Amino acid sequence: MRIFRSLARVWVQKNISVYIGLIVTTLFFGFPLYWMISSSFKVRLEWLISPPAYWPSLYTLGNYITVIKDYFSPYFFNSLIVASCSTVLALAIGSLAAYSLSRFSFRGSEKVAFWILSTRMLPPVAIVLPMFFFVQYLRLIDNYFPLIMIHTLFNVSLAVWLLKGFFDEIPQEIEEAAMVDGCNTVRVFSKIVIPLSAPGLVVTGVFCFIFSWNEMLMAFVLTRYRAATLPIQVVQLARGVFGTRWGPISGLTTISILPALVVVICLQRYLARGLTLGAVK
Amino acid sequence: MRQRPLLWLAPVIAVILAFGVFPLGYSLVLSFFKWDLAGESAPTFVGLQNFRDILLTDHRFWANIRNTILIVIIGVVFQLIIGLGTALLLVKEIKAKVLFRTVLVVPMMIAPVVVGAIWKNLFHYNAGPVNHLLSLLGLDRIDWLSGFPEGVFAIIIADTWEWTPFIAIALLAGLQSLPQEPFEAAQIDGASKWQIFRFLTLPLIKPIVIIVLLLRVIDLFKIFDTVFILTGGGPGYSTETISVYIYKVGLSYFRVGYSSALSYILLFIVTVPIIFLHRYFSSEAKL
Amino acid sequence: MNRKKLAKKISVGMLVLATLAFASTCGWSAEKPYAGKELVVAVEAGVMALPLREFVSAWEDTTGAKVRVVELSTAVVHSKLMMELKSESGVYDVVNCKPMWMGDFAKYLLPLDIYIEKAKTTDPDWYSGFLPIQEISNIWGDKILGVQTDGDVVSLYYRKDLFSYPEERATFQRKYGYELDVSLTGHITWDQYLDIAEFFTRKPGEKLAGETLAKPFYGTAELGEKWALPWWFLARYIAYSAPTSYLFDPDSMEPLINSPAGVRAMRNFVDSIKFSPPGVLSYGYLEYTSEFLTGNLAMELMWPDLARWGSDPEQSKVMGKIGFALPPAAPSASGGVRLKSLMAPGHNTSIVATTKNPEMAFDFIKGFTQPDVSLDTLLSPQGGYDPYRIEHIQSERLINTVVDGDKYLENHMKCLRIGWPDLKITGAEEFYDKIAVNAGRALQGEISPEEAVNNIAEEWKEIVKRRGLEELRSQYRKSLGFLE
Repeated sequence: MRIFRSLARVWVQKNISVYIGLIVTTLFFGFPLYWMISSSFKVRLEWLISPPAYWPSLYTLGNYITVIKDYFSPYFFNSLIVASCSTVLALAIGSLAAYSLSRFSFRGSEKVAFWILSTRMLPPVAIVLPMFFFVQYLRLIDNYFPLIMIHTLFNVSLAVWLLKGFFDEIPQEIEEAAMVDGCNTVRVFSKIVIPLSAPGLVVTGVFCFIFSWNEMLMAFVLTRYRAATLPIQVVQLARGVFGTRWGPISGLTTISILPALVVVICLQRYLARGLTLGAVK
Repeated sequence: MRQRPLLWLAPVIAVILAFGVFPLGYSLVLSFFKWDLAGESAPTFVGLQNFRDILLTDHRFWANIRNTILIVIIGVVFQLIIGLGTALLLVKEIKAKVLFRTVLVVPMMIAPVVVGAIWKNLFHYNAGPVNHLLSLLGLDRIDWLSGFPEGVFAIIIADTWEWTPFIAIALLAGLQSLPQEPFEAAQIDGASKWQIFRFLTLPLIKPIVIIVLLLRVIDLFKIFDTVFILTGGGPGYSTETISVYIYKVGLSYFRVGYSSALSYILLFIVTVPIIFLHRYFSSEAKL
Repeated sequence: MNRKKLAKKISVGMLVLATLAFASTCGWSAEKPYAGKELVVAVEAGVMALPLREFVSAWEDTTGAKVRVVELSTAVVHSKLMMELKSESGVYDVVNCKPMWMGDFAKYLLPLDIYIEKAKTTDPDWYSGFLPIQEISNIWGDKILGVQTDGDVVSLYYRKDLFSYPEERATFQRKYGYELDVSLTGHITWDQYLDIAEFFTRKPGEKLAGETLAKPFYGTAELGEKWALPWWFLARYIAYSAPTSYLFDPDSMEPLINSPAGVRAMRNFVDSIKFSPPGVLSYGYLEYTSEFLTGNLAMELMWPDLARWGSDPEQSKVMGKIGFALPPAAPSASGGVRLKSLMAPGHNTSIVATTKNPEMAFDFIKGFTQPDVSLDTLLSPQGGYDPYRIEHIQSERLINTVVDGDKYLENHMKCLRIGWPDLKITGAEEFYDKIAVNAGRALQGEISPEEAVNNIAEEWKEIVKRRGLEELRSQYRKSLGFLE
């Protein structure tokens, strides 16, 4: 009886149940990642065997060589270009709008803010067909520009709402003091607000970047080869192919999540805020 | 000094008008037309006939609605329960917290197509670890990707894997920002843990729970990438969601008018949770 | 003097260098006609793309061109190509497609007649070496719009060792009352196919050919992934509805798919799933073939690749045990048998009309289909290309690569003679999609076989009406004209 009681005490004190719960959830969320990364080092014979090869008996870099040779360029660089440009654009126009919504009081500002937010909820599939006609009419298929603009559209709501939150946190006294010194709004914005909210800009930018990096449908419809991005390549290889080749696919997907890993390691503090569009601080 | 709020907003509004509102308007016009691009026929005005056909005679559409609603309801419940549980575990003072949290947040940063590709492999009937685990536990293997309802559950599991961390992290942030005083007072008053959770924690984090729930509901209604990779909607249309159907009608069959009408129905459905969301975002009931 | 010598040496050296440089530039322009030019080739991902990539690197070296290979998933390749061709963006120069898409793609493709005429004079062996499938698949209207790069025909593969095992044969005879022999009369019927599949489906612990099984063994498998379903259904339908094997009434364009033949074909298909490994409905091509190659199946309906892969010890555990037979037939009312073999899908390679370099694109295709080069692609161990030239079916190399190669080729030729070319009308992909959707539902048991074929017929009627009855009828009649 005593043993049980002391065991129970240890159990509660050391949070054993908490650890068990956490280890189980970590296994659930970690295993698929492990599976993908380990699959990317497997040789052909172990891609699809039963029972599954949990520990590859042989490690190879062959899958990565295939990926780099055949599936990497230009898709990886296209992804970089599209994601960077749309991020910069979303930050540029988003910060202007956010500043306006944060500082200037005007009638209907709440409504405008939510209208901007609601573009985030727009199902991409609802605009993909008209967008296809539009871009085709402009003869811009397989061009970076329309893709960048559409990713900007999807990102701008996030940018506006997150940046508005960051701007709200900057004490207004500094700006008022600058105004008294004769600065106009534009100068206050560029010389004071932007530098002060630099961390916020970085956080927002990273979220925009990841979103654009991950987007598939628009890129799938609007690009062919020269502007095609990495997710397109994942679709082409993983979806109903004459012979699904899991090794190279795992290699490609592992490469494609590298930016996400960087974010997770650097920006854990801001994740909740970014993902709820600033609803959680 | 004069402020020109609209001038500052102009670029954003221009982008939204050009790349969001304009296509939507065009799509609305198209939804009243019968236009079969594959057959090279000219568009003919048919009024509301597309909508009537969809709602009254299209069995495939209603199967899609069934799948989508199942995914939304079961997905959100799963994700909320696991997410809340994980958040409550992570809020405790424990060792190696950073490690746990890091593993947890990777999935939601991964592209949904990649999530689909990973799980397609995991769900493989013969060589997939999921079925291997089931057989180790003495259970029957499940034919995950071969129809309803298994395929829908496969989609839900993959989506739960990707997005539960989102709920967990958001709720964790909410829990960490709660004021300490009421909890101390409750403990002094001798309230049980369950009472504290039920009457103190839960009401305090309710607004944030509702916001993440609504965001998830909206996202799940438009779920596309994961389904597209995992099952492609098949076999038949047993695991198809509305978004996948819209894509196929529009860009595989090139029935432009019908696809536009379908997308307006999806828009209408998504608007409902958005209206609720509006209330929460504008009522300043944030944490 | 040193200086003079040095100067002399340098001048000689420079002369040599200059000559070399001159020679090399001459050589460059003579041997590398497409230096600095780029060609974008869209091809189905996986087994179609791998051998093409091997050819591409060799072709780049000899011509100086830069070839970009874009791989497209089988599940979306039609939709993606359709989007591209309709938008006329001109990104893809060369596209690898299926003959059945000719109707959808025709007006965006470059007619190759003049190029082929020219090639006939400069390289007479090239065009004359194609099998008749080239003209059947690639002529649309009165123009040649593509070059055949893959000749498919479906045949039945079975495990010789099991089918000839005396005990199994005796048990089979006792149970079903006829002899277990696929090659006895040259073929089996689809009903016998089900009997054999049922007979060989065993649980772990049961005996198979004298050995106790450690894991389940199945009689057959069906290629259940969506893109392939139409063909696995049609393989049955064309047998049941032979000798005409019409999908539509050529006069009225009424679908014939819900005829008694269609119902029986669908029922046979649905019944067969019981004797297939679970999971086949989500199987891709690789999983499907590996079931047979790892020794889990008694027989399998398949394209010719299986014989080559089955002869590769790295992929195959059943090397030397594979028998080849005609696809199953269906008994006719008069007591005879009706035999048809699916010649679907096959692949052809076409040039997009918007290309800036038609000459180079044609040279690329011509190079790819040269007798020796195409034989290399054909024999590539991971490739999915099948004989489409006379040189292929007469090839010693092919016979030597495949175990029992002579029997394999003999069977292949027999299948070609009863070949049924794919539906070749505008919207063929959409017609087939309706088969895929409804067959998929029937295979899961959502709807009955009768309902499935009736749904297909209803949906086909709607498509015919939508796309224009007259035009489709004339296209369909034209495509039949090549048959009769």
